Amino acid sequence: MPVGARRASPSSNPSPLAGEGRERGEDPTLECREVRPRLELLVDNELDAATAAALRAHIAHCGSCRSLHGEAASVPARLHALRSPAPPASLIGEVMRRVAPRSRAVEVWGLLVPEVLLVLVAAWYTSGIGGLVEVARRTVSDVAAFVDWGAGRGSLPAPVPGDLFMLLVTLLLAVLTLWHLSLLSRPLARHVAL
Amino acid sequence: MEQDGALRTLAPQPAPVAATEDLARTARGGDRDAFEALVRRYQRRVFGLAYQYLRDPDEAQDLAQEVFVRLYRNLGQYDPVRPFEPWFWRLAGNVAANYCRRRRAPSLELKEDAASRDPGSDEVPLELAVASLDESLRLPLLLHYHADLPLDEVAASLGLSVSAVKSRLHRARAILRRLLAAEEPCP
Repeated sequence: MPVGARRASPSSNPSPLAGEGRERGEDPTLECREVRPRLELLVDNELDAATAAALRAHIAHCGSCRSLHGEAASVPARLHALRSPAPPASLIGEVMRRVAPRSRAVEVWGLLVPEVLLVLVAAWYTSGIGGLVEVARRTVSDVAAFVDWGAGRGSLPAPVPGDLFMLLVTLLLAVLTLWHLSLLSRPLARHVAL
Repeated sequence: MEQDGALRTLAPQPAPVAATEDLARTARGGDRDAFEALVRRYQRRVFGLAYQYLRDPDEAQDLAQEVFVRLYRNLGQYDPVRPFEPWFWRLAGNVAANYCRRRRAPSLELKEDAASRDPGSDEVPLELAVASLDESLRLPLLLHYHADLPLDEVAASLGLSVSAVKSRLHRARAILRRLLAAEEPCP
């Protein structure tokens, strides 16, 4: 049974407002305020037969509810008939342009450019193998100083700013390389589909 | 009789229309032509829904594009053994709801406009009345009455029960009725 149908039934739940708010000459069992919230249910045949019959009897006698019932019955058809402009001719082209796969070669091998740049920066900074050995030696020394500081055997070492810069470059290079490797390992079909 | 049969065989047959699920399955495998066919098939309904939702052709085009781009990106999540439409309209509904949250809401102006009209004066146009509805009522209403989705598909699209969808449709229509008609008070 639809929600509210029981409340609409005069026998099961007589309105406490019986006798109030009722138009003269109408069906005496229902009030407008009981009928109006159920007009959409009536239009959709969602009420039980007895409630629907009571509502129809009221509507047959009540001009304002009859008018509202007509309005309620017309709304679905008017919604169906709502007109929208035709989609613009450019819609499909724009969508296909936005989902066009970028060239796999450009996407995959384009990453080599920042990677090479980072390696060049590192090579410039470390001035070849000798410089790299020097950076490694200083790094080991810094780590040992940190360990001593942690063990309470020394003061907090002040890292060389250049070493921090190198650390940043190395981390960036590592992340880029990992991403690059993941791209290279992705199957072509999946790459295009998604 | 045999000749008739032969002539019928020779007559040009209309090209078979691919089932939407087949198109979606093919598009999911990376076939761009199949995806374009899907866009072509749904563009009118998606754009119409977007237009009724936003009441602005430019924004409707933006939203429709967004729906199809998201469809393309999410095709991998579509389960080809299930019906395509509920899955698609659920995605479209989510995109539309997110789109409305992101933009500055002109629907507020519409709401004020619709609400400020004297019920006894000129009728409120249906489009304006629909635009003034709360989002939770507007989307099921447009999906059912404008995109022509059956109740069970609206329910599946919005993650609601069929009875909840019916209830929202009744509430929405009652509000529209009140906005559209000068309702006389109960005597």
